[in-house]
Parts: sequence; C-alpha cells; structure tokens
Amino acid sequence: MRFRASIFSIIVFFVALLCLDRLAAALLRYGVDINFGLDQEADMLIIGHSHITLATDKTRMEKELGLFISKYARPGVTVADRYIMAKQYLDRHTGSKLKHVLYGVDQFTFSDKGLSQNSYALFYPWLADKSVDSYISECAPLQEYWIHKLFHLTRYTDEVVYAAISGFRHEWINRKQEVMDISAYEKKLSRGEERRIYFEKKSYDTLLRTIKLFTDRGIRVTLLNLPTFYRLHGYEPEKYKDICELYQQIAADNELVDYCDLNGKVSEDHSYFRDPLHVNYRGQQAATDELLKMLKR
Amino acid sequence: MLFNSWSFIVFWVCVLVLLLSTRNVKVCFQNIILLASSYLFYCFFSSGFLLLLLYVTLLNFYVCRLMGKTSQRRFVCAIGIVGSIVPLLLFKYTVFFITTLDALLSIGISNFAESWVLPVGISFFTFQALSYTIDVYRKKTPIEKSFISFALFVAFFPTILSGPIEKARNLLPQIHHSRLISLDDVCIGCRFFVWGVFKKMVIADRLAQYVDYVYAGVEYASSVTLILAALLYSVQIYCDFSGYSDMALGIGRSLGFRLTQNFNFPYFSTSIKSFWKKWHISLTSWFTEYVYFSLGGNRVSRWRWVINISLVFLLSGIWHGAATGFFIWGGVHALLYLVEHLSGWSQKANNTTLCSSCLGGTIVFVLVSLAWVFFRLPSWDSSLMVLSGMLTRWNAGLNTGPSAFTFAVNCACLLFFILSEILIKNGHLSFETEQAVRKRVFFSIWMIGIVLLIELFCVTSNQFVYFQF
Repeated sequence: MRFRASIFSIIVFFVALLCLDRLAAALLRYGVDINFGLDQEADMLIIGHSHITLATDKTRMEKELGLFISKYARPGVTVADRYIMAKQYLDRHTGSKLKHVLYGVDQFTFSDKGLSQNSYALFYPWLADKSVDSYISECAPLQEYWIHKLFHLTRYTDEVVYAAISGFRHEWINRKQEVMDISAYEKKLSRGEERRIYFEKKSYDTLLRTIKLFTDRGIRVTLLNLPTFYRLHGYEPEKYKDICELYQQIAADNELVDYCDLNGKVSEDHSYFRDPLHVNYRGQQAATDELLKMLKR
Repeated sequence: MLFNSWSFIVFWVCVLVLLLSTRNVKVCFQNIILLASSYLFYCFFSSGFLLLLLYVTLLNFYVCRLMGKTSQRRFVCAIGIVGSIVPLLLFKYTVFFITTLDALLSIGISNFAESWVLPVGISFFTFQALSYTIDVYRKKTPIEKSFISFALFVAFFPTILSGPIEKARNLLPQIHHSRLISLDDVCIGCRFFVWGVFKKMVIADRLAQYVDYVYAGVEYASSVTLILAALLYSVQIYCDFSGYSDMALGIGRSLGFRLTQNFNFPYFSTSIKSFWKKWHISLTSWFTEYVYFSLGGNRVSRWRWVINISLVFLLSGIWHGAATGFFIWGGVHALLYLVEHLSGWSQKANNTTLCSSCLGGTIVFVLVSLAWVFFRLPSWDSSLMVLSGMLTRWNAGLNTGPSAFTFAVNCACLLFFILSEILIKNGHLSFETEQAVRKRVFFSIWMIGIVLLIELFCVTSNQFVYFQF
C-alpha cells in the first residue's frame, strides 16, 4: 500500500514537473518571439548579428516609417545561422506582408572566425520549429540535442531570458553608454592584434542562398553596411575594398538587391563606438538617422 | 565522469539496477558488484592510477593483518602510515619542490613539473585507508578479514573522489551487513543529489564566473567589488564542496549506505570553534582524532597546546595543496582559533541573545571570507593586493560583471538558496520522508522549483573545486 502510494507520488511529481517545465518554457518563448518580432508578420525584417542589433533603433524606425519591424538579430550568429533565421521567419510567416529585408553585412561577414563556434545553440528556444530542429540536430552532439528536446527550460540562457523579459516590456533600447578607449585601440593595432578579414566561399554561397530565399518571394533585400570605426577599415584597406566591391557586385547582379554603405561621418568619430565594431547609444541614434534618411529616399 | 554529468547518471542507474536484481543473493556478491563499479568509476578518471589505489588498499589491509599477529604493532603501523603517505607527498608536493628549486637555482627542470599529473582523489582515499589502519592499531576497529570489504571501503565510488572521508567504524559495518535498497532510500538519495546539483551547478558555478572575472582584473577592481567577490567566494566554495558532499550522500543513501554528514550549516556559526565543528566535518574529525589527539590534544601545557593547534591547522591547510596560499590560510585559521579561545569568546558565543548571535555570526563569516582570499588566490602578493584594495579603492562603484542581468539572476538565486538553507536548518524542509501531508506537499513544490532552476540557470562543464585535492 505504502509502495503504491510512493509510486503514485513520484508519478504526480514528474507530471507536475514536466507540465511546469513546458509552461514556463512556452511563456519565455512567447516573450522571446515578441522581442525578435517573430510573433507577427512584419513589413520589414532586420537580420544580422550584434553589429546591427546595437546600430538600429527599431522603435524609432517603426514610428518614423509607420511600419512594423521584426529585428531578428543575435550576437555571434554566422552567415549559416542567418540563413536558418531567414528560413525560420519565412516558414512561420507565409503571407505577403514582408516587403523589405535589411541584412547586416560588414568586412567580416564571409568568415566565421571571431564568432561563436557553437552558435547553433542560440536557436534552442525555437527547437519546436522544423527548420531550426533539423539545423540543430545536424550541428549539436546527440546527448546535448536530446536533453534540450526533453527538458524545455534547458533551452534558455540568461541572454535569452533577458530577451524574453525585454519582449514583454516592449523594450529594444541600446543601453550601452561606454566609449571605446582610442589609445588602447591604437596600441592594439600597432601590435597587429586586430581581427583579420577572410573570405570563405562557403559563407559567400550561403549569403547568396539567403538572399534568394527572399528575392524568390519578391522581397527586396538591402545589404546594409552599418558604421564601424574607420581605423578598422584602414587595418586591411585592400581587403576591405574587395569585400565592399563584392557586395556591390551582388547588388548589381540582382534587381531586388541593393547595397548601402553607411560608413560616413559616424565612422570617423570614436565617441560613437563602444568598440571598433559596435556603436554605443549615441552611435545607434546617429546610425539610425542615416538609415532613416536612406529608407525615406 | 563527474557526478553532475549524464554519463554518471546512467552509470548510477546501472549500478542500482544491478544491485536490485541481485538483492536476494549474499551481501559479499553485492559488495563485489560495488567494488567492480567503484574501480570502473575510478578508471574513467585515471586508469593508470588504479594501481596506486590498489597499492594503498593492499598495503593497509596486510599491515593490519600483520598487526594482529605481531607484538611490534607500533612499528608495523608506522610502515603502513609511511608507506601510504609517501605516494601522497610525492604526487602532491613534488611540483612545488621542483618549481621552488628551479626558481632558486635556475636548473631548468620546471618543464618536468608541467607534465606531472596528480591522481584523482589521492588525498581522500589515502586518509580513508589510514583511518582504518590507525583505528586497528588503537583497537577501535577489529581487523578486517575480507579483502573485498576492505577494498570497497577504500574505493567506494560515492566517496573516493572528494569525500566525505569515512571512518572504518562507520562504513565497514554497513558493508558487512545486507542492505535492503528501498524505494524510500532511493527517493531520499535522489533528493540529496538534486539539492547537491543545485548548489554546485547553479550557485557555485554561477558565482565562480563572477569571482573569476573580478580576480582576473584584481588590480582594477574597486573596494566594494573586491569585498563582494570575497564574500561570494565563501558561498561558492561552500556550495561547491557541500554540493558534492550532498550528491555523495544521496548516491550512498540510494545504495543503502548512511554516509557521514560533511557540512552542518557552517556559515551560521557564531564562533570559529563552532565553524570548525561544522565545516568539512570528516577532514576536521580526521585531523582531530589522528593528529591532534596523537600530539596530546589539550592534555598538555598551554604552549604545547598552542603548538598542537597551530600544527593541525597548518597541516589541514597544506593538505589542500602545496602552495603558500593554503599554508597561510591554515595559519590564519590557527590564529583566529587561538585568539578566540584565549579571549574566551567561544564560550560566550554559546550563551547569547539573537542580536549578538547575528553579530557574532556576521563577524565569523567576514573573518572566514577574508581567510578564503588566501585560499583562492595563487600567491601571497595577489592576496595582499586584494586585501589592500578592499581598504583603498573606494572611489569607484560596484562592478556587476559583463552582464548586469546575470548579476541580478545570481543575486536572486543566492537569496533563494539562503532562504532554503534556513528552512532546511529549521526543519521546515526535510529530505527524509515526512509523514505530514502538508510538509510533503511543501517539500515537493520546493523540489520542483529546484529542478526548474537547475534547468534554467545551471552552468555546465565546471569541475568541482575540491576535486583538485
């Protein structure tokens, strides 16, 4: 009798645990979807990594353009990850509302060096999405994959929980106020310690495939080169020029693709940057000004 | 194959299933299964050093058998002790001596030190084996006739890596008697295990990220940041080690064994003396019984007693490793203990009001945290830099680390942990099966919360701090 009662208690415990696990995970996922604009169809989609996350003020853009914008950008995502992000968005929203995609590019786009090696893990919150599930199952170790499959809350890191909370609060502001240390950066450049520009054909082909996902649906794609600190461009100037020409060529080869380089006055002022690649709050507002001017033309 | 890994869970379940399926056979057969499992477990870490484990086992077993047949018991016991201690000294302190020698004489042998590997758990299983040998010498424990039982006592997988250091008179009788693995014991064991996982992977590992971040840039950290890092390191090391102990207790309980409690809420202590009765109980008890009492305990002159206490604390310090930080840590605790005793505070601490208990507890926690600074940092210089920084850098504010949100989550988890500790200490939460329905429901809700927090906030792939000993 006591044995049966114990077994019953254990079963009730595990059922309650699984239910709460799924409930809490579903709640977090809802918040994350709001944060990245995946909960509804958008007029404009922003895709990229931390560079575009920090450089664009989504709220201001929505207000001034009168559009609903999905900003699906995550720190550390590679070109391959961005393909999955694009596919995921299009699988979810099959309607024709989306007209324009802003795809963040920079001089390091064609190389995964310096980005996270297990960036697939960023997509665990969306393991229920088919495209994400098949991507992760190819990349992740089997044990890791199945643990995240069975226990839904394990899919969430601090960064994603924060994103969920920001989503519920409808808060997309760039809170970074710090300014880069220019003298330390000059020393770093003189020691030759800055990240190098590489070109990988695999990344280039993946970028083209991503663009095709959108252009096949008649969606315009802008390859957006948002401001980075000018000394970063000058580190390997020939390679930087080659990469920019490559973007221009991609745009020239496709009617629905443009290339927009916003590296102007903002790039020359180090007070807009928290590091050579990422802008601070002031830099975000300045970059957004330039972006809005371009979009309104 | 650490305890907090899925491969260990599979291993544990397999051992449990094997024991359950053989519960009707003789206990010696069950002990063979446990011994084989323990050796297999040890091989996952260092199969080469299994020979060392066997050596320590065989030496102490046959030394004690010989003690039963000879009148030269003292001499034979000494052989056992020296023979067991020599490999421990060799593996643990060779690197320290080589690097010190190289620094003094510049003979270029420090490369040799880089390839030196420390056998996992050597400090623990050596001390565990020695406790048996010394108890046999003192006639506190009968001589073990079964090699299987003794080998299991030394190599028992829940305790071999990081304790608790079991006394033969506690564990050997349990090994001899048949054990009925009940569903109740398995459930209680799992509860201890889950709580241990929470302490280790949520509290200890999260705090470690912050503490490591602060100490990596110690020359720039503000006073308030250094003080916070020191206090959080106290919690980190407690949760790391007691979390592991809870896991060991849980695993042992699920297999039908009652292992020694290793921590008894030490940070609620109102005196240093009380702290040492509640912190790493098995090691303190080992040094008390086999070193302190052997030196005469407190039945000696005052000055001799001071030397005895100092020696015990210093040995306890260097047991953790051959670094000046551990030695200084032991010395600081010796000083605190002696000052407290000579001032009569430890007696006063027992008869105080709630207010003065809280004050006493706070003072003890702060003093212990300051001592941990020497334990944590690799050198005397960096420890002094931290301590002087705590007093002199009040111009800058608190550094919350790379992510303010993560810092906030850490604070919330820490608050939950402290509340849970208070509830456990006061009996409102009990790992034993409660009869009262309300308490059972409350405990179940709390346990569900613990599991969900582990899922959401755990940090993976951090080895236990005490593992290195």
